[in-house]
Amino acid sequence: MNANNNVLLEVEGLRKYFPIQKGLMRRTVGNIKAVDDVNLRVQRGEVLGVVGESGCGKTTLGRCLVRVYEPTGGQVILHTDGRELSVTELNGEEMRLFRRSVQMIFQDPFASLNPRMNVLETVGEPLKVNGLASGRTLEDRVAKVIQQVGLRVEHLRRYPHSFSGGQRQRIGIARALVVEPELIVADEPVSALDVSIQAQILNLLKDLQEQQNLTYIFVSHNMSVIRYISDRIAVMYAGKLVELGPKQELLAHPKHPYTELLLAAVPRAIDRRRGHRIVTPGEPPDLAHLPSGCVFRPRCKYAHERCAEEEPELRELAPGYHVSCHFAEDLSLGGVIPRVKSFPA
Amino acid sequence: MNMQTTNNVLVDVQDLKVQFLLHEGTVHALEGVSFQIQQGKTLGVIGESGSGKSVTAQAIMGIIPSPPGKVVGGRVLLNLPEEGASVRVINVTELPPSGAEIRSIRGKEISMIFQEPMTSFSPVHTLGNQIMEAVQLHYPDVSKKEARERAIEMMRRVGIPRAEERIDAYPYQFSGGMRQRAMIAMSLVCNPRMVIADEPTTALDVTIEAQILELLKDLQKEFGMAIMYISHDLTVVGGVADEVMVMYLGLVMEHAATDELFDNPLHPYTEALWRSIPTIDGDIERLTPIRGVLPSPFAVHQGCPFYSRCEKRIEGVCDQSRPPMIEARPQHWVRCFLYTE
Repeated sequence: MNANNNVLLEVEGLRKYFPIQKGLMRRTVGNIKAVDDVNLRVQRGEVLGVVGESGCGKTTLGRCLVRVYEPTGGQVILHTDGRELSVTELNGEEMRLFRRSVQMIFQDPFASLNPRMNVLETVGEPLKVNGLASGRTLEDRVAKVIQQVGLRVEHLRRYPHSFSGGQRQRIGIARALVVEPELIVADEPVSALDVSIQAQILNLLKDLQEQQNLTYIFVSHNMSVIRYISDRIAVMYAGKLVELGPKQELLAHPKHPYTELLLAAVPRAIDRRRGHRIVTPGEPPDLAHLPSGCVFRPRCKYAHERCAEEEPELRELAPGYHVSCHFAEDLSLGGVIPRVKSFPA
Repeated sequence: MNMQTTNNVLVDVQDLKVQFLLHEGTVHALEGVSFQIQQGKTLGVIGESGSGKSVTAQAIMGIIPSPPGKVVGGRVLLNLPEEGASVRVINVTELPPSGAEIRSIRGKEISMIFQEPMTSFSPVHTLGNQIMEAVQLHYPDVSKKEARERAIEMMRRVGIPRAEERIDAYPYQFSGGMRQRAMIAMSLVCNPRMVIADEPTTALDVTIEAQILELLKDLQKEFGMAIMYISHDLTVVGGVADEVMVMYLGLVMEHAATDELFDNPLHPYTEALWRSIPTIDGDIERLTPIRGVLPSPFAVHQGCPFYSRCEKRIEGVCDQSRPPMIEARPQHWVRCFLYTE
């Protein structure tokens, strides 16, 4: 990979395996390869959407990147503060810098806030723990960030139970923002919210990203949400990255059969006109028993013999566009055709 | 409000009011809900949390948890056609919730598909035994062998491969999608007149969701049951329903045939929902969120419950009294003062 000042995060050969244990002695009889040899680079100031079905490894990938999980192998390099941090081998001082640079937003705003801490304590904690502020300064910084996320200073002394789901998610966002990080990993941040609240939070995240030139890795199962928030999209399947490219191109002209399948399955207003949704048989893979060759092969309608014999590698099909399919050049796959009239449907 | 009163009305909900008496206060879960479901048709119900969509389903099944829940007004009539031309009319709200009559209806005439198939099956009984139980409960004359055959046949019909082996499997041995298929098999095994599906695909992956929805539509063609399809997702409901009803805080805000409702949404809430939802193929420049937050479930609304969040509200009108249900276009009903004379 050639050097590029604009790269914030480099992920090389990242793997996270969970052992399958059996019997009284907890013998390891195999591995669940939740993340298997993932390579990608994240540019400063971009929103990378990571999408896939349950069990595809998108959450595990996010957690490895923020060091909630210890990766099994591979490297993650963070370029911050003029330095190169190897995320898997941080010493004490580097860890503090890392925690300031990388923050996470969680899915469930009910489970991720401590019910015994008020807003000031919750949002101020990262400042305190990292020794960044205390006393009056801390309170000022918390007050400032609270207003940025659309809450009010009066809210500082209140406890989580007095807030709605959307407001709690705002508290979670404030807590991530307060240390002024460069990178935020957001794992399904709007999935637990009511539909009328989702747009508020998505727009807030979008505005904050633009105003502060933040970088997001936005993990979601919802392709429509990913489409709204992302600049580039990474599609995962069975622990592997199968397609990675700019949003417009990937949605309009997917190059991997799985991306085509996933896009076709998303419900859209036109379904009622044509009377059905496009349905493909098959189920997400059993991670303990993956097929030989290409992991997507059993569900792929374009599969050939070669797909059973040889595992496709993620390769650069065009500059900045990566796909792992032997036949990417030969296939002409269907993507999303935007509706001309946006409303009403 | 009557959508075309015909002889084909299976469920007739009239001015239903349900409250939950909690010590924090009273939740007015349903504040006068009326609608009908026709035989063999699909009614889609859209609503967020607190809209009353699930309570409505519970009222039809006669399973509102009581206490704290209580039907304080209105009724739920089931018109069950019998042999010949006669119709047995049952008022569910008057039946004791664990009496013989309602138990003979639940699971047989009307059954339910729940959101989370893992928690709605017993983990310690095989799927086959649970499906067979449904048969034997309602048809005591059917032998165990016949019940088993019926269960296998139904499992096969919903697309469970190797049904004759899988019938002896436990729920944990099934994937989420297969469990939901098994749930559908159980709900249909007594050939009910209606199935209530409460967010049946919310816990599933999108590829599996598409499979389950098409399966439900195929089964409806084959067995002719009515479906009440409850979801928060407009695009999902649009794909399955014949008519759609939009609920908000215990009231029906809008009700029309699916195409009509999608082409000409009239209620400011319906319209706002559409503008606030990211879609795969719509405008992606900017979503327009609905302002404010969902009011507290204990709040009492003198006027329109959407007043605090509505972009088109009329001060002095909408906050003073509850808007009536108006037929603003033919067979298109909306609860909003914008459409009163």
